[in-house]
Amino acid sequence: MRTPAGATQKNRPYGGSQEPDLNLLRPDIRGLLEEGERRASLIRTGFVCAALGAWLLVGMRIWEIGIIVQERRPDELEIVRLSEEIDAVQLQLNQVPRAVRQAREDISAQVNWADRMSEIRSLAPSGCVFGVYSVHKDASVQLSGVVRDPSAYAQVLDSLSKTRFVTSIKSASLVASKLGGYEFRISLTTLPANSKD
Amino acid sequence: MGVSREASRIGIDLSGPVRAVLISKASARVIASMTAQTGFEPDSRESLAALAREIREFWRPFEVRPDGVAGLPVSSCLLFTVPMQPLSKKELKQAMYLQVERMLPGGSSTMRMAAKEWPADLPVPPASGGSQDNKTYVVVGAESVVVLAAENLMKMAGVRPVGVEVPAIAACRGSRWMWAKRMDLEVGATSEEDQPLESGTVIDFDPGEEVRLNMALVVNPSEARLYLAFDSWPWLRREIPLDPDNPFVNAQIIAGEISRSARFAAGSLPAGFAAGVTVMGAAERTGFLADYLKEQSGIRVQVWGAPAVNCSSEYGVAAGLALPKEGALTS
Repeated sequence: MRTPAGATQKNRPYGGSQEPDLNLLRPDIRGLLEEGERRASLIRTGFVCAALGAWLLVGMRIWEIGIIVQERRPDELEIVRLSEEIDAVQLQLNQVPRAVRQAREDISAQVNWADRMSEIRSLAPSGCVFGVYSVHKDASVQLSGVVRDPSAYAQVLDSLSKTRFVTSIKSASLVASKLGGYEFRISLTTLPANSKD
Repeated sequence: MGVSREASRIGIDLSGPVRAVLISKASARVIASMTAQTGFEPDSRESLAALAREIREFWRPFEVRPDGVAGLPVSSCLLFTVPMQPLSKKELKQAMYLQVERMLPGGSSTMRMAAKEWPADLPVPPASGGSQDNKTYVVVGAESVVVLAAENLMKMAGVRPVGVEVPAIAACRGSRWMWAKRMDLEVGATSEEDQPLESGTVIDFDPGEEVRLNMALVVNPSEARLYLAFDSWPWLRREIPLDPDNPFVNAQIIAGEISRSARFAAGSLPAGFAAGVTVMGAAERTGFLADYLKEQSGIRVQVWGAPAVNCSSEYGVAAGLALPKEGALTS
């Protein structure tokens, strides 16, 4: 008696098990040597990955710092620029008082003509009278006056040349006056400032 | 040999000589087969390169890069079943190391192993024994260097490696597939050779019934290897030395061995199960051997090859490697 041929897994007495997957390419158990090599390889790979991770971490940190520095740099440049402007303004501000101070110094250094003229007048001997006078910015002075006789005139010249603030007598003239006596004109240079008196 | 562009799988039997079979993945049809001139030497890179070249030249005309499954030489492989109490994965690993070390000193250091729990719906192999609380595991193992060499060989040959198996798996798969094909061919047919054997035979069977004790016999001139399996689950390998000059005596030896193995297996099987032997290998007289075994042992015997498959018997293991796993048997 023949069983119907073409019997399938459905009518197998044991239900039909799947074939075992006993593939040594993907073994369940590796040899101890292979296992050791595999573990060593895994450890090596782990170390390499850790080193790479650390290197990446440090690299990222450096990169991040670079970016922060780059972002901060415009502010710093602005600060520098403003500082320079402030310095320039400060310089200008400092210069104004200096000019003022210079002006004051100039004023203070100006010749005290009243004293000088008093001193010059005190030099006049008897028979001599100083008349109008003029002074100039370069501290030169032009004197005029009348003398009774020429000797008094000479005496005036000598006194003037000996005066401490007179540096030189540039010109001097004596002319007989129609009214009697003589008129004189003397041009002299003096020290330009009181400080040099 | 027509050029085919369909997706394929190549089975490479690395036992000497190296044989390869290209099989269509869709139809499980044998596309081509070849025997390599170069042997498989795991330690020689030059030899591997030469073998890889041969395999590449073999599949190249078919253009589509095939998947590859390599079958290791028997000398570097282990197959055993072992009963174990329920263990954790780690404990199981340690137990397997001890088991392998017991069988092959130093093997725990150098061997890769794959272990699977024996399915509950199959009879427990008689060799494994043990109490009912134990689980039975089927374990295969091979030298790591040989497995890696086989994987490298496939890569060098331009094949996509998808598996490395021990020959027992491939032989039993091929045998099982062949029985299924044969059963399809036998639909409604009656032939002389398929008549039930007389009473007194070790195992009773119906020619149309599906074979459960599946025996694959791989015969070489000087040695025969008998693989015993329930369905496609192998559980025992027996090596039978042969005399190349005396085929008749060899046939007697093998017949005796098959009868003993069948009786051994019968202890685990219920009455009325079917057994079958598939003869593979390069022996010139496989036809004679099959007839003799059938007569002497009373078990169904077939020779790998025509008409079920267009492939001669020495390519049985290589074809078994390339065949789809059980579940696509009817293709």
